[in-house]
Amino acid sequence: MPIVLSALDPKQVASATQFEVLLGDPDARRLLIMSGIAVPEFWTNHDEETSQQEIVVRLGTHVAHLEPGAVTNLGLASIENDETNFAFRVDSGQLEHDTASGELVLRVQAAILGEETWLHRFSYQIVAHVRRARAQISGVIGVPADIRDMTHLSEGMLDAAFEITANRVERGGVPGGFAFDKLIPVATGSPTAVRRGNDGMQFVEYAIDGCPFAVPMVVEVKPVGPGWPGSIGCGQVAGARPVTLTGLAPDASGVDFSVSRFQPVR
Amino acid sequence: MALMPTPVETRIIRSAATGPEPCNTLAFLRCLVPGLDVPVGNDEHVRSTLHFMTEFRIDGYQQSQFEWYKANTLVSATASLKFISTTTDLSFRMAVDVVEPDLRQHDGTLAFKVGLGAWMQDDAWFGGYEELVMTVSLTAYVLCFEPRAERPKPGTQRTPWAALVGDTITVSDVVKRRAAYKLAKAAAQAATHRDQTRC
Repeated sequence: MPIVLSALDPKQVASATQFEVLLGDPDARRLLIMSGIAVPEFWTNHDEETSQQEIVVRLGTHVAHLEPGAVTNLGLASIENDETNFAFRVDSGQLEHDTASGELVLRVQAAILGEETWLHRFSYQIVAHVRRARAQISGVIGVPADIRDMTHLSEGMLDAAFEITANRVERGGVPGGFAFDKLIPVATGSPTAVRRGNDGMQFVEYAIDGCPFAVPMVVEVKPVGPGWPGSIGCGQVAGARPVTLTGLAPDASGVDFSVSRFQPVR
Repeated sequence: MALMPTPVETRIIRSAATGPEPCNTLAFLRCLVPGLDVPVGNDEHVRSTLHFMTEFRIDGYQQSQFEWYKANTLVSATASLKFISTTTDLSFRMAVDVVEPDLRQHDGTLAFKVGLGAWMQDDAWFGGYEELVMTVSLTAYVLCFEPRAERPKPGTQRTPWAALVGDTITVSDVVKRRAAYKLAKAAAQAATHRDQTRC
């Protein structure tokens, strides 16, 4: 069984950092650089038989395509031995692309020998060429024309008429108290076009680009700014809630909303 | 007042990048982390955070824009053991725990804080001379903004002093100017002398 570590957890990977560099390549190719100190806490108590272990570091970075030839550089970071003959080994590592989730994974073969011998930590640095997926959520916002005429709005006014966000959900509350969901925006969207439908309905198309993978997201659409009458609301009427994008399904469409008037209280 | 971090010799290579905006420079740094500066006694767990300064300094850095530079300078760094040694058969632990970049506010130099740990235990009856040695190397990629189109050559860096020296008058300039002045003066004296002798 491999030891599986997540770069998103500082207790499993210390000092994990990563960034992307654009190199002027028109093909959306990016240079991805990742570093960290993995904490496998791999242990053995045998000074005659080498103990081997596969260690997998889930890097928490999702891409559409990993080009061959990624460079991985590993080194020992924290080791321990109890006054016996010893050996510590980590190979140069292999960067892999989990096609199911799109996540990048570092696979390392480690070996140690000795009594009370630990490979507590090893360091890694990875340089790879990747292509990002078009991670997008899209849909339409239905707006009755008698609430507001959207077809004559300029691009800027249309953009200012809605606040569109994809949010990850965090459960809040105190023990014994009320639990509540806190929405934390992870990507913002904007209207892309307006088309006129039947029965006085207008449909504002929107898209949210650059959404993260493997994170359940709730899309929120709020009518904002001047030009809206009072007593209106906007709710989701179709599509998944929450939406989770993956490497195999990098976009989700049909996440639709509708603006309507609140019914008067009688 | 905080002490100035120890400066260390650093290999630097810079190259142009086109983004993400506003970054336009990608640099790779490599240096050795100065050794553990706390003596390790027998059966004593020691942890120490070493704060040291690389030779990398953001070109054209402006102190007044420190917060902007901090937000737009990305660093991905790691460190590993490169050499380990004990003087006798010891139980030991040698550790690099964390690496943390630290952009220096006053001059845009990149420093690092590296958390190291060590422990040793000697069971010998007549011990007391045991030593533990570890060398740690650090490598880092830096993505940042530097205003000038031309960058320092690989392996070199620009410092405020280097820029000053480069921009001011060199000795050879002074020598050339002095020689030209001397020639012009001599020619003027010769012309005056000619005029006087004609009269």
